[in-house]
Amino acid sequence: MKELTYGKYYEHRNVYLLSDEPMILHCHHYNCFLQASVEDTRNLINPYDILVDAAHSVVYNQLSKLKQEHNLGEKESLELGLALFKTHGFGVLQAESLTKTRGVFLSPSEHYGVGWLARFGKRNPELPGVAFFARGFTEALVETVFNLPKGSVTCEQTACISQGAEFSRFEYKVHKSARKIIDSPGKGKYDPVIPMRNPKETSVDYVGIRNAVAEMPLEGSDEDGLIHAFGVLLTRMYANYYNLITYLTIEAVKNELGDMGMPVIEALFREAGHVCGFNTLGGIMVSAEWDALILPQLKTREDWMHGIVAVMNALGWGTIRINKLLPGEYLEMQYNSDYENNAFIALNMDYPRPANFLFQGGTVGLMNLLYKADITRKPELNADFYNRLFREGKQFIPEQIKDRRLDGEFSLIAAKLS
Amino acid sequence: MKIFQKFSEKFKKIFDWSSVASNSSTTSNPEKTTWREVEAYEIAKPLLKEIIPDKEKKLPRSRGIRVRSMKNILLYSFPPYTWERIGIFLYKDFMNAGLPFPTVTDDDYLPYELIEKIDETLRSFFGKGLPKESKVL
Repeated sequence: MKELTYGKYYEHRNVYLLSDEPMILHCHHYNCFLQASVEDTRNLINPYDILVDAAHSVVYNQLSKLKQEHNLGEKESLELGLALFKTHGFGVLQAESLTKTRGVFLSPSEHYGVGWLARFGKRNPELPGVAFFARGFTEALVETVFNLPKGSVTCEQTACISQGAEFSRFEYKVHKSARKIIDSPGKGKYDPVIPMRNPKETSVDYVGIRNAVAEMPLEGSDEDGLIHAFGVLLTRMYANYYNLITYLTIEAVKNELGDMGMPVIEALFREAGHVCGFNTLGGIMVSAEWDALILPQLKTREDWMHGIVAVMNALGWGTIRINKLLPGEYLEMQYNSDYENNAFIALNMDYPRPANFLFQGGTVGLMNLLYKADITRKPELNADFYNRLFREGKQFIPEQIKDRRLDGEFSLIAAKLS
Repeated sequence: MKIFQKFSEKFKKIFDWSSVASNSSTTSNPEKTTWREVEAYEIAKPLLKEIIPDKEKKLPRSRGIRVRSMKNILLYSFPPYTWERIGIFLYKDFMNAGLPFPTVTDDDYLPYELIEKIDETLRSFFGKGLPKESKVL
């Protein structure tokens, strides 16, 4: 079944699709910080249902289509689901008992549980376990295996690695009536193809780096099903998981607070992107793979920026280019077929302000990495360093000049000194 | 008071106060004044931790502390964006206190009950509350 878990990389748009679902690389720092930000709304809305239902939606869309495309039976569908979980770095999932009415899954290593422990330490035992994604995944898997209606399975987490348990444990039940689960936007809405090019102002080989990184064998290890790379735990995550939790959280908070509270949510989503930029992109820039593949091409400090942007084009996030870079002062980035807007446009997102939160934070993160953290000296990227860095001196702040959803064409984001 | 003296002396050594004063009018040279203010803030930052508790001691306990002070305490003791995380988590408590988030201003006062809730929330998020040396609780 493993061969069915590999998708296809579409170089002309820099997107990676597995049966209509775009898959993108992100690390545990981003995954856990974004989830924590959504959980922070729990006194206003129900963030837990959002997290579970978003996972349910995207996994159901993918698995049910794969089952149909390859004409799989119950046993094969189950094997495919468990293989997907592992290949994409979510960990190891084992079916302990499996019937058409109830059952139990166990996970000795699950991405969010392990990642949460690594980033935030042991989780408060009074809170639910952190594996909301795995709960939604399990629900969709059981529905697909038994051909049950979408939304008819609920899954609870009864033990969590993040709270000190040896295994994360998931108990599911099948219900006669199905709850409404939002449809995944699938591959979403692309903009016209913008071919990648090697900019004149640098010796960095964008296309060569993009191709080399896109072909790296990044998949869950046989031991624990996690992707250990660049000093972080990577996942090949469903782009629409992020998009749906962002979209649903904004909708729910807006219903509660109106427009007034939205800047806070925006700031937290943006900070999640910044955390991602710092840890994932920073982790790549201090890695052995960077030294072997990219460092030999870098002649100037600004080449480091070009090098990491070339890598970003291999992450499935869309086509990304530098429009303007003033050393230490200003960066303007263009995003085509960005994974956020592919979904937000397809979902007809009704939000009056720019919403490329990941890319806003990420653009700022790049400038901070190069000109504040001086990534060329390979500092140790830990929480203390991060906190200290962003208390000192002037800060880079984002300005979204264009949002494809609002302005058409493409998204344009600048990072400038405050 | 000693802390303020210490602050003032340290500042004098670094800055020519008369020069700062002569440039303090935003109408005469706004760019330069802004630059000086930024520099002054940068130099003052390491001492903010000491100043805040002293300043707070002078306030009637029932009035709580200024938002600005709380933001500074959070900035120096917790990860970036802790103020925003607290704000969304305690949104209803801020509303009940007549301080809707995020329109609450730096000059508003956080009532004592809200400070206690912030402390409690910090403990649940980070395993530690407001630093003892800040003396806000």
